[in-house]
Amino acid sequence: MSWTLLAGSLAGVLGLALVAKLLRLGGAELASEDEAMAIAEAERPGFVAVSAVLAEDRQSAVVTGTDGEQVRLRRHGAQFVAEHA
Amino acid sequence: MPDLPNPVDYAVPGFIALVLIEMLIARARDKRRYCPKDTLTSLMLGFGSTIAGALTAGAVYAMAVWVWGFRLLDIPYAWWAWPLCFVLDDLAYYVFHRSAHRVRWFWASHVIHHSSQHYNLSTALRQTWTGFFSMAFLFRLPLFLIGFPPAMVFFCAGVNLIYQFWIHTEVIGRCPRWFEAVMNTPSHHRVHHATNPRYLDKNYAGVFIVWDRMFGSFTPELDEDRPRYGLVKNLGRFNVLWAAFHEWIGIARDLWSAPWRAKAGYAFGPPGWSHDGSRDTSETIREKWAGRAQPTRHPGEGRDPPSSCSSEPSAVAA
Ligand SMILES: [Zn+2]
Ligand SMILES: [Zn+2]
Repeated sequence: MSWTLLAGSLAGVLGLALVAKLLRLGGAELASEDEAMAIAEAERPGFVAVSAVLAEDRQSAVVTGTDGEQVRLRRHGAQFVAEHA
Repeated sequence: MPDLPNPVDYAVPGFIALVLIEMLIARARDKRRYCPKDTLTSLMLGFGSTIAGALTAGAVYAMAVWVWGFRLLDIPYAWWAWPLCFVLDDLAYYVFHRSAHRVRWFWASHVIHHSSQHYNLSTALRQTWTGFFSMAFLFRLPLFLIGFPPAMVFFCAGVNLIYQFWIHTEVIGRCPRWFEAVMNTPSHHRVHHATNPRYLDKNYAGVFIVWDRMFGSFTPELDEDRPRYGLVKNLGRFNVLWAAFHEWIGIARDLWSAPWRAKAGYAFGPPGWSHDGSRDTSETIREKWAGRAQPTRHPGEGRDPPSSCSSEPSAVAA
């Protein structure tokens, strides 16, 4: 490993992230209540969704399960993660 | 002993060019395949991994030479030794990788590679920082003991790593049937990165998928169950240090708080193991999934499926 390789790699890292930004890649929104429920079920083993309420900007949602448990979906980059509501 | 170059060093420009091309394809087809913050995290993790690797390379090499001193055979740098070394090294990789998913100690080091919810070429560069600490080098020692020269083994290992780069993509669907039968492919490795219950802990192959077929860990990608990527419990933050160390921190916390009889289980049991059964393992997730009616909803439905690299439309036979 040389300093040239190290500097080149770091330049490559920052350059590629910048290109991703310039190409406006990423971003996400929940298409429907159904999608929110499907994501909540996939993110939480054993969770069975009954209903979902999307936020106005479709960047988050609260999903309610069969036993009344609530899961909050939050946008994380171009994907969603589930958290305890 | 010849002074062989590290093939990975020469591959870096190629990695950068291919990520760039894949980004352009993402812009045209589906912008959600890349996310700038995720890309930066992946690449910084790759960058950190090369530094960690360089810092420990000397010690690993010295250890390899020491073990090689006890070799059973004198394997020369002959034409036949190279492919043999490559295949056996790939088998050693399979054993390592399977352990990396079934033993929490090794998982703590490998989890970094699975920590992105994306699956693109930049994900391939998410490599471990703590491989040396986890003692992953143990898995290669049998090769030196057999008698393969350390320089030859490390060269093959580098080529193996380079091969694994191109399979981290959704751009390529299925490859020709004969290729899917023998080689690890984007389709097979998407399964490996997926958290869908049916795909958990499958397809550990490095280069040759035949190991999974031989040892019962193979599962084909199904068009009706599109892979969802990441961890069973996703990190939810773009923090390079957290991605690199979170599972080690988890082990330390559990070792501290667990009762004595359970401590070993938290370090060397399967990921998700707990003494009171309060956490999910791959097995419990699969049981819960099998126990319920077939899910009616599939996340990502309606989005473009990956295109095919051949005219072969069907999935590979299991
Ligand atoms: Zn893995
Ligand atoms: Zn991978």
